[in-house]
Amino acid sequence: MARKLTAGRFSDPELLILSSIAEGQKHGYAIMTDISTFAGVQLGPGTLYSAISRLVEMGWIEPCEERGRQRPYRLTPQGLRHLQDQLQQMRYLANLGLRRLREA
Amino acid sequence: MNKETVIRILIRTYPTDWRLEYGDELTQVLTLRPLTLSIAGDVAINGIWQRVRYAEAWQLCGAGMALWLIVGTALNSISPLPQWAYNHFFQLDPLMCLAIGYVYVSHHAKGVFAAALAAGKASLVGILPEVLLAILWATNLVHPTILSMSGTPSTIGHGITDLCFRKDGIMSPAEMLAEMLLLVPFNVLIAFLIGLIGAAIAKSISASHWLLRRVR
Repeated sequence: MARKLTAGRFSDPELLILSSIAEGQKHGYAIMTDISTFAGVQLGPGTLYSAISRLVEMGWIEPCEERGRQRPYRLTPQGLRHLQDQLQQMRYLANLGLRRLREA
Repeated sequence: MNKETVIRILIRTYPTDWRLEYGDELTQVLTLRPLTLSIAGDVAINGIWQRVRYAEAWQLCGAGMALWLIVGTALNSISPLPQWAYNHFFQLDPLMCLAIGYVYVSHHAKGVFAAALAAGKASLVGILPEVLLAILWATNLVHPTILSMSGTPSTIGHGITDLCFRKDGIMSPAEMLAEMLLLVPFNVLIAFLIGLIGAAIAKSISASHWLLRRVR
């Protein structure tokens, strides 16, 4: 299991949602439980759906065909690029911080 | 009140368009989880935030004007506002209407009439607390010592204590309602005209830019 992340940019709801559906399409409840598992962050349903609606507006995720009352979401190519950019920036920052800690 | 009713009320905090798109899914998620106070708060706060995001400029400005009036009335009821504050208090409304007229034309690409109408609607929303106060006052649900902001310290009084002993500032309920019947349409009309001026300013600026470009 991945290390639990609890604060800062790592807990931005948008980034957590994008990371969650990076492995495949998921509906709201599945995203919420997945985020709770891999990041240890309990997203409230209101926060989750506000973030989902913003991501849909930005064109980073899109709804798939409905399954009952639940509608899964998947990453769009733009969303995938955005997620890759964000994660690479984080990796750069993390590497830089760790190197400086070692040197200190 | 059962869980379904609470969920329905919480979902109503979101704007209609948002509810049509995500309401069913959010309801489903809320049904699957225990509805704690923090979850209810999270849903309600996000609902209000979505309303702000989906609101038109005139709705936000109207709400701002209403809030300004409520805060001013409350402050003035607690302790008297100085004369300069009284003099400037209502200058916010015309400035807001001017800004709405200008912004609707320059940034939202609306027509002059639509911009003026938006200013009028904002003014109507902004005056609602005063109308509500007058109704409560006329029906004896609030004590008349709560100040009306439509006056100066010399005509209305200074805070609760002074007003309690004043004789000339307190209107009869019929007088108060009659004043409101005149005040509301008058305010909206003035706001409409100011919005019209704001829109005309925006049009003139845009026309002068166009002319300058042609000359160059």
